[in-house]
Amino acid sequence: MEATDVTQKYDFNVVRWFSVATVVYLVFGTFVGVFIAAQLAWPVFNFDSPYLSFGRLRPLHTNAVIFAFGGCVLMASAFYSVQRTCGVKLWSNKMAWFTFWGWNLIIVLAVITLPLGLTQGKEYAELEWPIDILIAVVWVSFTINFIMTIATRKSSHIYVSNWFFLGMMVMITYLHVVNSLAIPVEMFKSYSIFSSVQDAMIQWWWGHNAVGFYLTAGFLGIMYYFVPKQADRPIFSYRLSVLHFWCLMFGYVWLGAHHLHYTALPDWTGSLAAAISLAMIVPSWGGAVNGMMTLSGAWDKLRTDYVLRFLIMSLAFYAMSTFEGPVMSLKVVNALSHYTDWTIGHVHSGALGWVGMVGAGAIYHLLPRLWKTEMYSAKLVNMHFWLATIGIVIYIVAMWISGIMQGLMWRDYDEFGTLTYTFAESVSAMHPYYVMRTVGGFIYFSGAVVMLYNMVMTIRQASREPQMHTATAQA
Amino acid sequence: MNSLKDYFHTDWAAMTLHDWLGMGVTIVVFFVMIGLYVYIFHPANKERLEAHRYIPLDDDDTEFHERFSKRHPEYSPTHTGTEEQK
Repeated sequence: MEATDVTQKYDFNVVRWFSVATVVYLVFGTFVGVFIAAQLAWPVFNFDSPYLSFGRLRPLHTNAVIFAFGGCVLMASAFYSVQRTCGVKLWSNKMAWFTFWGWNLIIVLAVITLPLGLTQGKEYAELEWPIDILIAVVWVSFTINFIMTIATRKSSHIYVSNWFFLGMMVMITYLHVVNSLAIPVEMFKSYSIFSSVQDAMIQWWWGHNAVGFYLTAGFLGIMYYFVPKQADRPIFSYRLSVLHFWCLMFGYVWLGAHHLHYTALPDWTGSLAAAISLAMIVPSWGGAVNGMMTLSGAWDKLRTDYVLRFLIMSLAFYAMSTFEGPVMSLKVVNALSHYTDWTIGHVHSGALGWVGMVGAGAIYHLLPRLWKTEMYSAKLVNMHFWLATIGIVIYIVAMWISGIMQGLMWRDYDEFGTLTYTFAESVSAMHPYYVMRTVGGFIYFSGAVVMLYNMVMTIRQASREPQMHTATAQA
Repeated sequence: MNSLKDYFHTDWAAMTLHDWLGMGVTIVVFFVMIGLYVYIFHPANKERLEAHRYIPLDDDDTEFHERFSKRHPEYSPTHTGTEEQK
């Protein structure tokens, strides 16, 4: 195959910008996370300011990591991989830029409105109705551009990573629109059209499927492209990947009700959700094994390829989270775990371990290719890997201990049938673990800062080597 | 719940149009999934499906690989490894 300047053949400029934004938002989102973790350990950090209070900054943290970091890495990797696997440019480069600026405008609006207390009060869907409409428009522009790029492809087959991205786009459009249906009463105030337990069900139908389709299916799209590329080996089993895709698409939509055990929701709904949650272990582990076994016969690559470490470690966390989640969905376990920090630990093993690490791995794969240079420092990539891994382990261990302690303290009765502990006593008992969580989060955040520094230096290095690129491209 | 019979008891007369539609879609999807399993694991389809594994590797990332292979032989992107897995 002839040497080709792929940066001219494809529309990579928008991918570059999404990649830079990804790392910036990773630093910002994890910083806010560490700050609010510190607020829980030391309430003085609320500074008696409503704008800096935990209740307002917590949704800012979740929006920053899920939609700013997560959204940008999904858009960067989807726009990159769809071009590479289809052998064509983006259908519309202008529309891709509209997606980039539109998405960033949404993030800016979130940064302004959430600390001001403007919220719908729906988890992972806090932003008020005008921003919800903007999200729908920008997301649909992303989806149309992706679909039309596939429609104009040169290859006959649509590679499986594109199926995962497509599944995410279609489902998130549907979920976001239905969950956000509201009656506006003011510019920044609206009320959900659903009420009571139906509202709760719709909320968690969205909430769990945001995890299932955005943070799982979308990032599996990243995994199915970037793991084989980085390992330079084909995916272990393509048939397993097809099965993984369809099981995920048909299975995930049932799970939301397991967030509403022991509520006004009919009992059978939660039982059904728990049963399907357990069944979902099979495709999830099938996918994780499929990714890991791609290295079959070449495990030694993990010794030297630090980017591959991120990708494979993310699969380990994916497997762990997709086992822990179904276990927690069982009613007997949920009776102990629900409303405790165990849930926070579970979410973060998925978010920091799976989403964060596969996202970082994808960006590390992209940076040298997009800027046509080497990473500024491979050692810093390795340092980021260890900071991330150690930070996650400290975080989730703290939350496991804290959560199980909370669950046990809350349901402990004395011989007279009264509660053994007051709620305040359980809060006090959590203090050491909240400090430990802050430390773990800070270590993870430090890794993100290292990544930002490495990225900036890589881009600066690339700008100093224009002659080399030209010479190589002409060779 | 006294027994499994009680647990799975259904008041068919109370089923609404939405209930019937939901149940219908669920049953159809169930059979589609069985069809999918049969299709994927049928030996006749193995070679055709597995051929798609190479799509991400058969691109034009040559320039990048050439430059990096010189500096880092350990990252050398030979496709021989892929043959082993066939």
